[in-house]
Amino acid sequence: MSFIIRQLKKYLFFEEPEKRERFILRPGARPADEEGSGSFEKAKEKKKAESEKAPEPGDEVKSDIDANLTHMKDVYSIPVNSDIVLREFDITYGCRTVRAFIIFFDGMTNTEVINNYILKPLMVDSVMPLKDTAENLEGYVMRQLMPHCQVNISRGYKKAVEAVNFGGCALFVDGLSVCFTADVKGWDHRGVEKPNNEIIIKGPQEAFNEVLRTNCAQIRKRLKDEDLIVEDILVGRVSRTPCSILYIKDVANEALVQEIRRRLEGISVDYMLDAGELEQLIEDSTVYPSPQVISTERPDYTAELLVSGRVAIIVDGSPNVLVVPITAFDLMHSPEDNYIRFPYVNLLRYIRYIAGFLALLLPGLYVAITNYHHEMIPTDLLLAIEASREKVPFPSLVEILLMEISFELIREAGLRVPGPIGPTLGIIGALILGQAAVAANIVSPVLIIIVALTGIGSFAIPNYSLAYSVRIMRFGFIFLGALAGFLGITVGLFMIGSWSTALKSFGVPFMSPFGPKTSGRYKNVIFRAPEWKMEERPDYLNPKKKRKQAEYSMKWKHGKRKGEQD
Amino acid sequence: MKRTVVYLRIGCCLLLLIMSLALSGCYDQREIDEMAYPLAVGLDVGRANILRMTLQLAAPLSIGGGGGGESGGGGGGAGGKPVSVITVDTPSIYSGLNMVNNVISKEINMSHAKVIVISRKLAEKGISKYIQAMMRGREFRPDMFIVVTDDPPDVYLREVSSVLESNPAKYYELLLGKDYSSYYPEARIADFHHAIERLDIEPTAVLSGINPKESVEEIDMMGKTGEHYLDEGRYEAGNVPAVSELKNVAMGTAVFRGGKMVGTLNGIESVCFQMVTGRYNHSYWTIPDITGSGNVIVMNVVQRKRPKTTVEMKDGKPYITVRLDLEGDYTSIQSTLEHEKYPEAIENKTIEVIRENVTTFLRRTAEEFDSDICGLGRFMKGKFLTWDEWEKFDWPSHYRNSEFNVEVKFKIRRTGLIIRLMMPELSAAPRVASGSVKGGWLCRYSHGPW
Amino acid sequence: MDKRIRFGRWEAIMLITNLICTKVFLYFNRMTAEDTGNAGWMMAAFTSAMALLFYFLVMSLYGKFEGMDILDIAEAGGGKVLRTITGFVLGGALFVLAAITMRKFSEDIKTISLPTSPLSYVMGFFMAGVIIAGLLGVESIVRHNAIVTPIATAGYIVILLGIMPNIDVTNLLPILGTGLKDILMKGFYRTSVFAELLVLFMLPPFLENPGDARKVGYVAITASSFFFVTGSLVYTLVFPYPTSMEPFLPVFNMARLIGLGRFFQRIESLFVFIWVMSALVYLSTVFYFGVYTVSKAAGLKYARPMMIPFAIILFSAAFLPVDLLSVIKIESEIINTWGWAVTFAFIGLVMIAAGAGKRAGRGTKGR
Repeated sequence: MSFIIRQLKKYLFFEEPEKRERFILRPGARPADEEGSGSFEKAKEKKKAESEKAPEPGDEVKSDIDANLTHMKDVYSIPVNSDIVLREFDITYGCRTVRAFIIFFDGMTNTEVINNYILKPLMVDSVMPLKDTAENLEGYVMRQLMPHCQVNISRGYKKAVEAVNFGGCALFVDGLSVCFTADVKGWDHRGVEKPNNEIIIKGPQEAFNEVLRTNCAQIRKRLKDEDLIVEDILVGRVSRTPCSILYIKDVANEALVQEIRRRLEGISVDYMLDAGELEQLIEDSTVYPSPQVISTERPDYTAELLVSGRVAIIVDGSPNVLVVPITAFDLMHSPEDNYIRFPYVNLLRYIRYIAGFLALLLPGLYVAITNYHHEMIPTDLLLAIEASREKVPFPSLVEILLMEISFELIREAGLRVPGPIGPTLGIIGALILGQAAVAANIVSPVLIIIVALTGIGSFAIPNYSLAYSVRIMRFGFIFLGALAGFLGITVGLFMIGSWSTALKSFGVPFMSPFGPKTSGRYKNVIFRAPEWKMEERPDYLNPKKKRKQAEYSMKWKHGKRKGEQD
Repeated sequence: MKRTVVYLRIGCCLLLLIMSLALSGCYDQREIDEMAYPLAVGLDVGRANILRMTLQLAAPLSIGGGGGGESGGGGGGAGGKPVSVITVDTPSIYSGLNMVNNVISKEINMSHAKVIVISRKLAEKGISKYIQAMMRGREFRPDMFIVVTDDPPDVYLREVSSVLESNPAKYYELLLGKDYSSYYPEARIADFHHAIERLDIEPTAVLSGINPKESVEEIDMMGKTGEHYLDEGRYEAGNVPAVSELKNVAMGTAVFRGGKMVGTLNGIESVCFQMVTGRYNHSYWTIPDITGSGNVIVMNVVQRKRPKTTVEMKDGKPYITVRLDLEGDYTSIQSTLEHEKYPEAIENKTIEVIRENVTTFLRRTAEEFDSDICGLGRFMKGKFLTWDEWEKFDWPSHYRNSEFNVEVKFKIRRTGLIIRLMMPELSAAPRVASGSVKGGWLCRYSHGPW
Repeated sequence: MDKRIRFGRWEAIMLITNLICTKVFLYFNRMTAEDTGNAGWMMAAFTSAMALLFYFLVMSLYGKFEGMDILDIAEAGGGKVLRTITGFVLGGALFVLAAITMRKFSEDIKTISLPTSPLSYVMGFFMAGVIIAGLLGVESIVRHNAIVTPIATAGYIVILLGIMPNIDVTNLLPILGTGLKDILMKGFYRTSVFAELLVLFMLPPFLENPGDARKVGYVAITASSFFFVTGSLVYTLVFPYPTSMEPFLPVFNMARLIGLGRFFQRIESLFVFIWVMSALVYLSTVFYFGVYTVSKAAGLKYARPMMIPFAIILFSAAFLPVDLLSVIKIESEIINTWGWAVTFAFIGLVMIAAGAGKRAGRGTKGR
C-alpha cells in the first residue's frame, strides 16, 4: 500500500532529480586535471600510512606465547578445523632456548619452503654463536635467521590471520610482541596455457591463469617499464580478494585512475570472487545491453591497451582481466589487429562489421520486408518465397521466432555436450534441424539461410559479451519489424543510438570518437591505419603523453645510408 | 537501486504487451502468401461498363516449383499455367480492384505489375485519367511499361506465354526494357504521364499484338512487293511474317497527342524515333548494295554521340535541324564487292538511307500526326526567358508547319573478323554506281578510327 | 572541474544543418517548383544568400553578448518580462515546427509504407523516440545528431547520384522559370526555411568556445544552401515543370525512379531508413530545445520533468489540422512565409532592445 502511495507521489509531485554523472573524462589537451592531479601522490601516502598503522588496542600481539597460542587456536577453531597446522618448536640462541610456533594451512602452502627455509634455519642454524643481545632477537630472526625472500613483521593479529588465510605462515616467538609472516603460497594451479576464447592465428598463444602475481608478471615482462604501477586493493569484506590496478604512471590520466580506485574501494560486499562479478559491480549501466568494460584473457592484448592509456584490473582467481575505459568501437577490435598487415586487417574489420550488422538486423529486416514492404523484393524472389510459403501453416513472425529460439537452444546445449561432438553441434545441428523442418513443411527454406547467416554473424563478433547483447537485441528488432516494418526498426535503432550516446564508460562517452568528435577517427576505429601511422594515443582517454611514435617511425626508410649519393 | 528494479518491472510488462501485440499481427501486416500479384494489367473499352480491366495474376506454385526440394509429394508444382487471367467490367481501375478482390481469394497487390496493356480503341478515346490514377497510387510503380495493342487486352493477355522463362515478369522485363535497340521504343508510365502535361513533347507507347500466324503457310500468303527485298522494319505488330510458340510480338510505336492516340509507326520509323531522341543504342541496318545487284549490306550502326538539334523560327515556321552522329561495323556484305576499296561510297549510301528514313519519319509526325513525339520543342524552350512566354508561344500549334533538315555523319570502323574476302570473281569487280572512289587498300587506313 | 555540458563546433554544425535540411526530404523541392517553376534552384540560391545576409546583420548585433543565449540577452535588455516573452515566443515557434513536422512525417510514412494503420499508431512511434531522447538529455541528442547527419547526407547524395541517368538538361529551360520578380519576391519570404536557425541562439552556453557560435551559423547556412540548391537542381532536371508541382513527396518519387539494371530497382524503401532517422533526430532536437527554452524562460531549474507533459501537448497539437491538405497549407503559407519574422526579425529586435539596455554580462550556465 505504501509502495503504491510512494509511486503516486513520485509521479505527482516534483522531486529533485538525482545526479547521474559525476565523473567525466574530457578529451583534448588539458595540462592538469584539477580533480586528478596529485592523486597519485595522495595514494602513495595513503598506502604508506596504512602499512605503518599501529594495530588497534585489542589486536596487538602479546609477548606471552601461551596467550598467542590460545588466541590462534581460538581464531582457527583448532582442532575442529582439520587442515590448519600448528607446529611448536624451539629456537636456541646463545644459551637460551625460546619457544616458538608456526601456523599455516596444509595444501595451500609449499611445505618444502617451510621446512627448508623457515623451520630448518630457525631450529638448526640458530645454534650458532650469537653476536647480539636478547633485545635484538626480533632483528636477528628477521634479518639473519630466516633466509626467505618475503618476510613481514606485524604487530597485530589481524594481519597475521590475513596472511595465514591466503597461503602464508605466521611465526610467533615467545617474548616478542610481534609476529613474523612469510608468503609461502604453494597450492596447485593451472599453468600458463593457450587462450580458450580469444583464439588468433598469428600472435602469442599465452593466456592469463588464476594466480594474480603470474598475471601481473605476464604483463610486466612485456612492458618492462618501471612506470608500470601495480596497485593492490582488497575487495570484499570476507573474501578479501586481492585485485590489482595496472596503469602506466606517465601515460594514464590520473583522474581516471582515481575514479577507478574510488569505485573499487566503494564496493561493500562480503564475497567477491571473479572478474565477472567485479565487472558488474563497477560498470556504469547495468541494463545497457552491451558491455562497458573489456574482459580479456590475453596478456598481449592487455599490454597493448595499457600502452594506449587505459587501466587494467586483475582479480585473483580469475583468468579474465578487465580493461577500462572503452568505447563502442573497441568492442569490435580483435587482439590480432595489431599483428596482421594493413590490407588484411581492414578487410577483416569490415567483415566483422558486416557480421555484426547481419547478426543484429537480418531477421528483423526479413520480417519487415515480407510483412510490410513487398515492393522491395525482386519479383522472381517474391514468387519463389510465396511458392515455398504456401504449405507452411505459421505466419512468418512465428516461423522466425521458432527457428531463432531453436538455434539458441542448440547453441546453449552444445556447450554441455561432452566430447568432440560439442563444438560441431552448433551450426551443423541447426542446419540439419532446419532442413528437416523444411521437409516437414514447418518452415520455409529461405528462413534457414537467414537463421544460419545470423548465427554465423554473431559468432564472428570478437567480443564475447557483445555477441550476447546482439543476440538479445535481435529479438527486439524482430518484434519491432513485425510491429511497423522499417519504421519500427528505425525507431529501434534510434533508441539504441540515443542510449549509446548518453552512456559513459568510466567518464568516456561511449560513442567516441564519433559521438563527440575527437581526433583519431580514421586511425583505429573503423578503418585501421598502418602500424607506422599509429602515432597518437586516443584523444578521448586524455592521456598525459599524446604521442607514442615518432612522426617518421621507420627511420631506415628516410634519410641516407652510408655511401649513398644524391 | 530500487528504482532501477521498478523500472525494469514496468518495462518487462510493457514489453510483454508489445510482444503479444506483434504476434497477433498489426494493421498493415500482410504475409506474402496472403496476396496475389498481377504481372500485367489490361484496359479496354467495356461493354457492360465504362472500362474492361484484365489482370494477369502470377501463379507462384507453377513458377517457383513448389519450394522445399525434398518434400515427398512434389506434385502440384510442375503442372499448370504460370499465370491466371481474370477480366471484369468496371467504372474505373480501383473499382475493378474491388470487384476482383471478391473473386480472388488473396488480396491484390499491384506493386509487381510490370506492364499496362491498353487497347487501341480506348487509347483513341483518351487515357490520361487512367494514367493519372496509376501515378497517384502508391502501389503502381512509375517504371511500368505501357503497351498498346489492336487486339483486345483480355485476348492478348491470355495468349501471352513465356516459353524461355519460368517467370512471366522476367519475360516482360527482358522484352520491354532492353539494351539493344529494337523496333519499338522504351515507354514507361512516368514519362508518359509527364509528356501528357508537357507542351514540348508528346507521349508514345509500344505497339504490340498477337501474331496470328499459326503455320508457315500463312507467311507464304503474305506476298511480296516489287522490290528485291523488303526492309524488315516495315511491319507493325500483328502482321509480322514469323511463326513461333510465343504469340506476342512487339513492333512499332503508338503515337499520342495529349492523352489520345493518333496513329502508329512501323518498325523502321521507331528506330528513327530512337535515333532522334538520342536513345538509340545499336541495331542492324539493311542497306541496298551499291552495285545495285539486289544484294544487301548489313551494318551494325551505333550511336557515337547524342544528336544535336537546333530549332529556329523562319517566317513563323520552325526550321528544325537534326544532326545525327553514328558509326558502324560491317556485319555482312553479300556481293562480291571489294568493300575496302569503296568505303566512302558505302558510307554515303548508308547516310542516304538513314537520312531518308529519318526525314520521312519526322515529316510524318508533323504532317500526319501533328504530334511532337521527339520532343523537339525542348530545344525551342531555351529561346524564352520565362515560363509565361513559352506558354504563350504554344509550340504544338507551330509544329505542324515545321521543316526538317537532317544531317547524318557516319563512319565505318570495323569489319568483324574478316578484313577482306578473297573470292575468285574479284578480278572482274563491277563498277560502283555512285560516290567517289579512292582505290587501294592504303586509303582505308587514312580514314582513321575516330 | 566544470560540470557544464559542453559540445564542440562540429556537433553544433551538424545539429543546425540537420535541423535546416530535414525539409529537403519532405517538401522543399515541390515548394520551390510551385513558386518559381523550373527556376527553383535559382530561388534556393537567392534565399540562401538572403539568409546569410540576415544572419550577418543579426550577428553583428550579437557582438557584446558573447557567451549568452538569447534569453539571457533578453533579460539583460528588458528584465524578466522580456525574457519570458522571448522564451515563450521562441519556444512556441519550436513547438509549432515540431508538431507540424511530426504530423507531416507521420502522414508521409502512412502514405508510403503503412496505409491502413491509424495515424496515432504511426505517430506513437515517433513520440516514443522523442520522449526517450528528451529524457536522456541534450548531450545524447547532440551526439546522436553528429553521428546520424553524415549518414543521412550520404544517403541523400546516393539518391541524387542514382537518379543521374534520368536527367534531361532541357528541363532547366526557360531559365528564369516564372519570372525574375517571382524569384526575388518569393525568395525573400522563403528565407523562412532557415527558421530553425533560432536554435543556434540557444546554444552559446553549451559551446566549448563561445566565439564559435558565429562560425557555426555561417558554416551551417552554407552547407544547407548547398543541399537546397543541389536538391532543387536535380529535381528540376528530372521532373519537368508542370508535373514537378504534383507529387506529395518529391524525393520519394525521385527515389522510385532509380533503376540501374534489372536488379537495383525498388530501393526506395531503404531510404525510408534515412528519412525516419533524420526525422527522429530533428524532432527530438526541436522538442528538447522547445521545452528547454520554455523552462528557462519560466525560470525553472530543471527541464526534465517537463518533458512528458509537453510531449503529450505536442502529440495533441499534431492532430489539430484536420487533413493533409490543411497541413500542407499551414506549412507553405504560415510557417514558410512568416518564419523569417521569428528567427531574424524578432531576435534582431530583442538584441537591439538589449543593446539599448546596455547591460552585458556573463551568461547563465547551461544545464
